Amino acid sequence: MTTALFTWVGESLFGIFEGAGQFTFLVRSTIQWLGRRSIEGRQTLVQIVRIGIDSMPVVLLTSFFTGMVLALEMGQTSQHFFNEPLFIGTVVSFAIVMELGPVMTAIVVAGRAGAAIAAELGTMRVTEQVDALYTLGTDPVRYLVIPRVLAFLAVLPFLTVMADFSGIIGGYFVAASKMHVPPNVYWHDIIDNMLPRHFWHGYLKTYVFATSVSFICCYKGITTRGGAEGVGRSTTAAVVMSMVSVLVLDYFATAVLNALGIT
Amino acid sequence: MIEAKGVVKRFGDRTILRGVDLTVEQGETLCIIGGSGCGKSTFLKCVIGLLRPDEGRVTVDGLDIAEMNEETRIGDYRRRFGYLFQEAALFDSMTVWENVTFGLRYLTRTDPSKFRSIAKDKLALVGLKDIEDFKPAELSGGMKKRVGLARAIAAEPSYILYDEPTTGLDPIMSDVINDLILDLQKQLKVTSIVVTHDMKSAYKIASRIAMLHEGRVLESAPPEAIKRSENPYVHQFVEGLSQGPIKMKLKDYEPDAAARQGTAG
Ligand SMILES: Nc1ncnc2c1ncn2[C@@H]1O[C@H](COP(=O)(O)OP(=O)(O)O)[C@@H](O)[C@H]1O
Ligand SMILES: [Mg+2]
Repeated sequence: MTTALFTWVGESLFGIFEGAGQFTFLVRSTIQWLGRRSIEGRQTLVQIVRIGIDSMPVVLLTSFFTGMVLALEMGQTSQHFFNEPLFIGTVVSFAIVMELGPVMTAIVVAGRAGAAIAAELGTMRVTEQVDALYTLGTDPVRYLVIPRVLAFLAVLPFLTVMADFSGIIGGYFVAASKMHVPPNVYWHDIIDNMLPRHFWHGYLKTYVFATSVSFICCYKGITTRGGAEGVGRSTTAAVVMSMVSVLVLDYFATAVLNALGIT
Repeated sequence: MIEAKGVVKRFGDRTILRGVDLTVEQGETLCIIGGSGCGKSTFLKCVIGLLRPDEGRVTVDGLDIAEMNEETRIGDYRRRFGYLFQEAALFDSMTVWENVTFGLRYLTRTDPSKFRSIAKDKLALVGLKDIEDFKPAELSGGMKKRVGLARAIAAEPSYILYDEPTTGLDPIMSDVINDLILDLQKQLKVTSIVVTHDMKSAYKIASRIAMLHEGRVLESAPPEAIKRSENPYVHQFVEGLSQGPIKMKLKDYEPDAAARQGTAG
């Protein structure tokens, strides 16, 4: 009984350290390949288009509704306390641009494109296509991982800006139609208060999220084992771990940005 | 020359190769035979460097990949090889001709505008035509195998490792592939290791046959000697007899039998 427990603890710890070691190896190998400047331009472009197109509709939609619900809640609260809807544009835009836009976009893209990456690389691993890359003179990190990481770094900030606009427009519709806020009041609430550093606060975070989501999904994909079942397992794990990493890193990124005064 | 000395390979606590010693001379075709799951594919992967042996070493022209850590030197080692995967391992996001010429970009300095016609030539060698623009999902198992073979020979390597090149092909096509392997050996002086279950093909192409059993080489001899081998294991295998010292347990679960039958093929 106790030995079984010890074995279990030991094996779990070993598994964690082994995983961490492999993950570090992946990151290091990526940096080495980037240092050699051997970037697969065409693959990177293909991934940028694929991730962007895959994720755009659902990113815009979720963000639009987030803006709407923020305006609705804020409108109600403001009505309740002040008898009129005040600063709806300010609240919606700050919440979206600094926090919800980057986080929600990262989570949606992890669920959409991240899952696709883990499943694709996982399938390539279990059907020996990853090994075939090696025998044909290239390297899985160079050919598969780097294009995807770079594509994430290129696409996620762009998608986040799109999401920011979509959310603010969603908020505008609710404010204008349900709260009867005059259009110029809504827009002035935003323009008069939003400063470049507020935008940078949200924008810079997206690079942190892009890095963690893309590495986790690539890592889970190329270390897949055990046939179709294994692909399912690693895809689920990739999505869950990416989402958790976004929420955890969001706190730390915010703390760092605040310390730097970008807030 | 490929030299394997005391190669041991473990997966977790299962030891698959228990000290394999094999030498393949320049220009020779060595056939490796042995039951499914006895570690034939594992051995090929140790040779090309996809797997690192836990003990022992493999050297090719005196180079040991275990001692290399610079990418350029590993590349130089790998450039010598063509590898046919057991399940072909074609890239399913690419067309057939892109698959065949994939390695040329990395292994050679061929002008990319010639890729398509090279692919056509290599596919003709394996008896395929007019399928350049197909995706692997549209091909039958035997066709995939042959596209994989075309891909393995496209960069004109000096060593070719074939993992079951004729499994899943009809008898006539098997013989076409046998002739191709013989041609490559005679005309281009290619040195090969061929893993196979197909004794007819082994007798035809091999300059030497080695039988792998329980992680060791039981016997390694020219085809005629293997045919008349007095080793009971070798005799049972080459004659394909169900009765003999090699027990294929079907009912009782036994770790060793499970290891032998773990992966079919
Ligand atoms: N990557 C791996 N991880 C764990 N076990 C493996 C791996 N590759 C092969 N094996 C096991 O090693 C044994 C030998 O496999 P293989 O070399 O493919 O046999 P075969 O002689 O049929 O080609 C099998 O039992 C298989 O389950
Ligand atoms: Mg095999």
